[in-house]
Amino acid sequence: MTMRKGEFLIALLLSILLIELSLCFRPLEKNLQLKVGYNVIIDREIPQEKAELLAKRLKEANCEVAKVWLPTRLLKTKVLDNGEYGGWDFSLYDRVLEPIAREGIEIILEPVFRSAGDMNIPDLREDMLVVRGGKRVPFPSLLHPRVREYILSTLEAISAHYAKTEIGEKIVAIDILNEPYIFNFGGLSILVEENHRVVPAFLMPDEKPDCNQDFYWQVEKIAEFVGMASDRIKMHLRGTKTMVVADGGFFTFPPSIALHKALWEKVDLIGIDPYVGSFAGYKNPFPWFYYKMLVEQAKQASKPIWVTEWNWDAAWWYEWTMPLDFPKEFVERSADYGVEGVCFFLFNSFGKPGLFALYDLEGDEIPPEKLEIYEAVKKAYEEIKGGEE
Amino acid sequence: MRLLRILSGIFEPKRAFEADTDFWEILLALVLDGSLVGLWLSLSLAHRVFLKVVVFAIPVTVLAWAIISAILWILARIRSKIKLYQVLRIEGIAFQALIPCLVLLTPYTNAYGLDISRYGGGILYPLSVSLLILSWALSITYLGFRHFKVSPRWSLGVLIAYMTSIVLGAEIFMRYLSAGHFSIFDLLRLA
Repeated sequence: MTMRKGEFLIALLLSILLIELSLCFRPLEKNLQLKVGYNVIIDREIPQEKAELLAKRLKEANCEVAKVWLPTRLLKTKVLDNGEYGGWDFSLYDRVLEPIAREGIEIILEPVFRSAGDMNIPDLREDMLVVRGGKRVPFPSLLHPRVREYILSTLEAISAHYAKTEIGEKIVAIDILNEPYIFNFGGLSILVEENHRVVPAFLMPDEKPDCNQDFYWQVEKIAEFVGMASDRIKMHLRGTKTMVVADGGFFTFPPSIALHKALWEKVDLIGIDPYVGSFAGYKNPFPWFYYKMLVEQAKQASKPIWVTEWNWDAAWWYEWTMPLDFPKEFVERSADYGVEGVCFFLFNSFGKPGLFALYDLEGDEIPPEKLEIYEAVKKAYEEIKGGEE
Repeated sequence: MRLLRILSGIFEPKRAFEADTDFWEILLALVLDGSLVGLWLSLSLAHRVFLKVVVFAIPVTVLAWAIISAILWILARIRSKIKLYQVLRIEGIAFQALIPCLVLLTPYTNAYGLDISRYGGGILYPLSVSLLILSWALSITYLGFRHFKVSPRWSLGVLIAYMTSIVLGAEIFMRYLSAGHFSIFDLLRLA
């Protein structure tokens, strides 16, 4: 039986394909340099002993780095007589950060410049909020000069307060924008209004008529602002890196990708928040393909990448759904993909009932129903650092 | 060997059209394509075999083949007497262009996921591969139509109508999503 030319060519192609695919089947590389940690959210006053215990519990959970969310409204900013912002009260910031730094845990500080509630700008007026989809939404506009002044002066105050202190040495990064609202309407998720009318997913960062309505002009202005914020931080905390964090859907829509790339040029680190379980279940390649694609997109900026939030599925925090073998694979893949560090979301509950968290700040213990997942994350962190297999 | 003749139809379309292949042989070739696509998705994107995906990719491939064949048949039969079975055979062979497509895309997806904005020249590599393979599959479809006595002008018309509707559909979808701000051609800005 002789083989014709066409048959020979297709057999050759099939052989090449099988060889290529067999090369893709490889064990994941271990990277002992991967930093591992947790998100900590503090949104209200807590006493000193709670803060001390929180730091101790973090250490017990193999935490090397904590992304600490402290909304700037906790600083109780005032408007001074000369119209500038000032009068910051750092007592809660110090109370939370000092024990964490003392435990030797590195800190990524998250001041949460996002919603009006997170910032609580003392002289906030309605015209400082963004207009999107034809109505005002409760997010101060990054294009408004007074909002910019609030963010810049607050960042400078934080940096100056912690400069040349032990806490300052442990603040490895400050996040300037965390999953900013300007991107949330991108992606292939169709925006559905309250009355269930489907509307287009794309909206300008700010639709106020006195703002230039060119999309790329607005992107450039926001990126310029992020650059200014980064400079303000480094005036005092020279060793601290600056960061912006992208939500996990940023890559699904070209305008959203363009926005993020413009921001990434202005900072030292890139944060991404993959919730891989949001994609069609666990036992298929899509979670990992999605995760890898996020990392590859971020790698284009040639800057170190952090996974600033990870968990199974953002929409499932209220349920008990994470597969127990997932943390190990996620952490191993993160090391393999060249990510610099990973922070599990979320370590402590912060008042919202039922929110997925490992540690109960009120009860001071790991709740029994969370023990399994707590151990799974802790063990995954231990193993990736070369500990017990 | 007749299965091999179908598989090699992208290199020898005339011989493949003339061969006395029956429906089950074409289906078998498509099952093979589907399992290769499933293996490809699993291994090149996630470095692990996910059996569920391999199994799932088979009916998806067969369904895609049936839908594309049906659309082309509806368009072609307006001005010809081509039968659905003949179009199914043509597309069964055109679908074999998946194999060189997977060969060319594997190193790329293995390195970069499906990130179309990467790989040296940005979008250039995946775009070139896609266009090359698409042209290959369309040429085979054209030759198939000619083999089954559809006029050259109408064969070309069917393919142009088919491609136009796909591009137009994608453009309308993108315009809708972006409230008219963006076009699918904005993807080129990612290069």
